[in-house]
Amino acid sequence: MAKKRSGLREPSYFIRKEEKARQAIEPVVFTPVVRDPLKPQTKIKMLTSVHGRFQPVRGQPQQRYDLVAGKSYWVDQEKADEFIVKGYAEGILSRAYSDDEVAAIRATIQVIGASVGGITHG
Amino acid sequence: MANGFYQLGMQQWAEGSINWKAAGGDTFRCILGDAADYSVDLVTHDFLADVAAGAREEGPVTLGSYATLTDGVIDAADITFTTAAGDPCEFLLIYKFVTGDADSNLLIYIDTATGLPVTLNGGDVTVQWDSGSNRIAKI
Repeated sequence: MAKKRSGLREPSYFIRKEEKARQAIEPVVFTPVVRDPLKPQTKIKMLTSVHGRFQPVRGQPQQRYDLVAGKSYWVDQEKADEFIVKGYAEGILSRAYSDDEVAAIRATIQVIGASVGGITHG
Repeated sequence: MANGFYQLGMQQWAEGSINWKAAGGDTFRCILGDAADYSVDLVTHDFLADVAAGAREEGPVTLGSYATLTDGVIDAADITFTTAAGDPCEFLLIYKFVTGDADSNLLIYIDTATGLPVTLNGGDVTVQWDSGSNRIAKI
């Protein structure tokens, strides 16, 4: 007795050409690049209190950080190098920086002068 | 205007509510502000809530490494506002942080200093406190 074949699945080589073509042009889904949470970290001790902003994930709102002088923190190696070169913190650099690199990094700093204090009440 | 102390803040110093010391003291913060959005009043302003949010361009940054020297001189480590951007800033303001704007006491207003006013250009702004005999202030 012949078996009923209507319930069987068709083998893939029976898929029509048009269907194959449609499958071939399925859209590519792009995934946003997320900051690597496993970036190398460096421990630094702050010499200066530092306030700043960072964006943990692209497209998300910025967050603030407040690093207090005299305290130690683990921060991204890149940021740690920046703070050490700028003199905001002490720690171990991930690599040697040339004088030109140091000058370029420090060039962005504006200073409100040493005579800012000296208020005497009375 | 000139650098000065908030009078109601001075009252807090007198009453012993302000503890500026190396360890176990209060928390003090500093903001970099835009005078176009804040008209200082050293007599009547007492809390951070008196300073419009729009005037607080950068910060707050928490001061650290507090020190008290002889003759009522107070000091702390220098501070930096990184990647500072926004309106030009004309003043620095130091206050005692408690829990929020409504109970944080205004203490010191500084608008006369080398480098003030400062135009924020996306770079860092570092405040180097006086290394002379009066440091940040002499009470």
